[in-house]
Amino acid sequence: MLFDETSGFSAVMKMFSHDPGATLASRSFGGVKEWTTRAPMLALGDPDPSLAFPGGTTLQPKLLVRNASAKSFTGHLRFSWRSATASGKTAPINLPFTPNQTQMIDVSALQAQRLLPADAHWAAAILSAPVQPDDLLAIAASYDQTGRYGAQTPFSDQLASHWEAGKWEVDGMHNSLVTVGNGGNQPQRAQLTILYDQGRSKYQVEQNLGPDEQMAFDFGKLIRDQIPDKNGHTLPLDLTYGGYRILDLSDGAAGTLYEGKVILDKTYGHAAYGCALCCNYETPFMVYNPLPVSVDATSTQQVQAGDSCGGGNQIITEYFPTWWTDNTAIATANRNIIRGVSAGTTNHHAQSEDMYWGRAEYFSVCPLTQEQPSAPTNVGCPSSTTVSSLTPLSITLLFPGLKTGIGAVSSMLAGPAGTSWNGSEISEALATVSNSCPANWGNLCAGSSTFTVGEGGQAEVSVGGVETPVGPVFPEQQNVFYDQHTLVSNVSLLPTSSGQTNRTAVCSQTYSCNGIPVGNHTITYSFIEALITGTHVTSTEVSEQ
Amino acid sequence: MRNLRRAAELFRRSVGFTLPILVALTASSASQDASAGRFATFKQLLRERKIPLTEEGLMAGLRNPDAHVRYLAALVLAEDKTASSVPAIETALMIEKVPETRVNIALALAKFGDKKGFFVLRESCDDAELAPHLKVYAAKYLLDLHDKGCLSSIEGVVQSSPDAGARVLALSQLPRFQEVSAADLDRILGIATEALSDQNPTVRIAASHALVKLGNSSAVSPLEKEIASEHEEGVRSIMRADLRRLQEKAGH
Repeated sequence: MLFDETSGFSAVMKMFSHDPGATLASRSFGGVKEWTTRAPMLALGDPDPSLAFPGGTTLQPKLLVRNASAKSFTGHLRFSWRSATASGKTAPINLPFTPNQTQMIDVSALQAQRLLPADAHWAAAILSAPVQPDDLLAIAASYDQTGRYGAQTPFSDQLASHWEAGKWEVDGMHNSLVTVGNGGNQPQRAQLTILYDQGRSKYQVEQNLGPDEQMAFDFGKLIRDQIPDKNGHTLPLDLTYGGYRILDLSDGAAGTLYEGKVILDKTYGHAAYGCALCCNYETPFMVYNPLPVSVDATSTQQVQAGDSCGGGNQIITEYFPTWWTDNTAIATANRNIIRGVSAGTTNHHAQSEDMYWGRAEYFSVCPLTQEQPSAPTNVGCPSSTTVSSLTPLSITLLFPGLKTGIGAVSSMLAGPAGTSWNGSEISEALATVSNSCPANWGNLCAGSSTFTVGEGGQAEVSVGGVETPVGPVFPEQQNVFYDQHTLVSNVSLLPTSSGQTNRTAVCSQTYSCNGIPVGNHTITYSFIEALITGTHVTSTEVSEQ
Repeated sequence: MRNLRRAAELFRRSVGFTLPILVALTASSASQDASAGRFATFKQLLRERKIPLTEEGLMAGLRNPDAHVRYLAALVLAEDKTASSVPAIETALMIEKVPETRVNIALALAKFGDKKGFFVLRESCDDAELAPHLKVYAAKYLLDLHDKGCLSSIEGVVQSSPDAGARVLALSQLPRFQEVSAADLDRILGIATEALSDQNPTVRIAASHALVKLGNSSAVSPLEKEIASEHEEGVRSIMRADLRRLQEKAGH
């Protein structure tokens, strides 16, 4: 911070970071042909009345531009200006630079030469050159002759689809002025959302912006004049602060908006600028890692990423148009649909559009890159199944609605471990080993089911003709599938007509995947007569080995 | 009133598949259907209840009058890793009045790694007012999430719950407390052994199964003694089979 107590002058001494490894491709925001940096709110000689400077105050806007490289080149400077009643753009001005040269551009002189209208209050200064990012450094400041009144506006090359901005203030001693500009070469739909009441209330404005066009907001005027937003909503008259958000509605991945803000402090006569934070997705990753898929079947992969400005992980598959696998003899990709071809493992990959990323290591910039997440694809079947646990479901859960029941849910673990078998489909076959139940109970070891490894769920039985979920829920677990063994009736099956109070059936069970047996088990159903509060019931006990 | 027929569909979880079995009964009052039921995914259960599986539909499901729908919606949001739904699930948990639904919603929240979900599950284990079987649900869910925080609660249910079904369920969870201290293991074995002489036959069977799963040779002798004194043939037969498996497992 530079200050002069005598004159009441102070200014931020902006520092620049310079990454020699930064590529032009990663910073060619908005499809610009040359590296481009912008100062969004340069206060011109005739100050905006919104700045509330004393009458007669004249500013002396200046740019200081330094060539930080050892090369000679010609830069280009243009302005997008606005007055109280009009706006426009200037033709580019050529700025030849020798190595490491610093130039001062007197914008007041350009106004005197009528390159910019004398009554224009604001301009976005847009500087471009055939250089690497940050080889050209620039600052912009506008102060009156005494240094008492004035404002700065920082240069930045960053464009984005999403900006989150900090506090704005409007009260007797403050006002906030905001601009939103389009730095790209295509028209964009811009949305400004003013957030207040702890983020619970919002005020939204939308506008189409052509290349280099800006929309400008005087927050104090919006409040005082009760100007309605696009939904007819007005800001409360006693509102004094809040935050705001800017979105590029035309392109959520590689939008081309920039923003500028000054907060006027009438106490000292200075308008201080604030910087918003560009937001976008952090490191993308495959949701299913590894992705299991059976031969001649498909699995759907998704790409997910967190948002650098909060909101948790989100599915962003739509921004990944290109997909492929390393070995098409094992698996193929059609967008995010991965098909198993033959048993084995191969990686699958996705490539994003050229879009912004808000990764922590780049803070506080959002580079433009094509990210490429990958994950293994496991094609084939597990080769084993074991009983991980057996959860008994007691008849007490549904008594007196039921008087026979109910059984258990087996948690079956697909193996071998170390590979994800989630998504594999397992079928079963049953055969009777022994059965002491009355013949008219029929074949207890019958049925066939298909199970999907990695799916959760809950047991469900019929009670009085209504399908009823029963017992605890079983959340999806890695390599686990669930098998329900239950029998229910609203009468007690025991004792039998001949007075027997227990009965047993033993079934052999074979699980298969793609027709190949992967596990053999024995299920024992024991039916035991019991009493619940004096009522005869038949309890179904199940064990599985 | 003879020759009444009832349709019986026995067993097997299946996705919409059951096999009808006919059972002839001799009493007209017993002319009722038996059925197997099925294990359904959370999404299947919601589809049956006509709940759209979109994020919007699921978020609305959190406020559905049907208590089953509320927890199923939360579980599907967790399954789909819809992180943006966490605040809504937290709200649903906060206002939920049905104890079983509350425990299940807490599981959904804990699946996101949310501390409030874990807190409610642990709190449920220790809640003296909560039905014993729901305490066991909470303990099971924590075990599913690799949290062994509810051992003492499970022990309490086995030892003192009047609900035989809850005692059976609690016994089934005891062997899931892996890598516990020697003192805890001794206590678990002691509790399961004691339950071999429970007055309810289903609890005795569950205790026998638990001892097999625990696989400790010290349980062989008590199990042999209980088999000798067991008066119900069906229970005795199951215990004998368990004893054989325990002896194999324990290297006898």
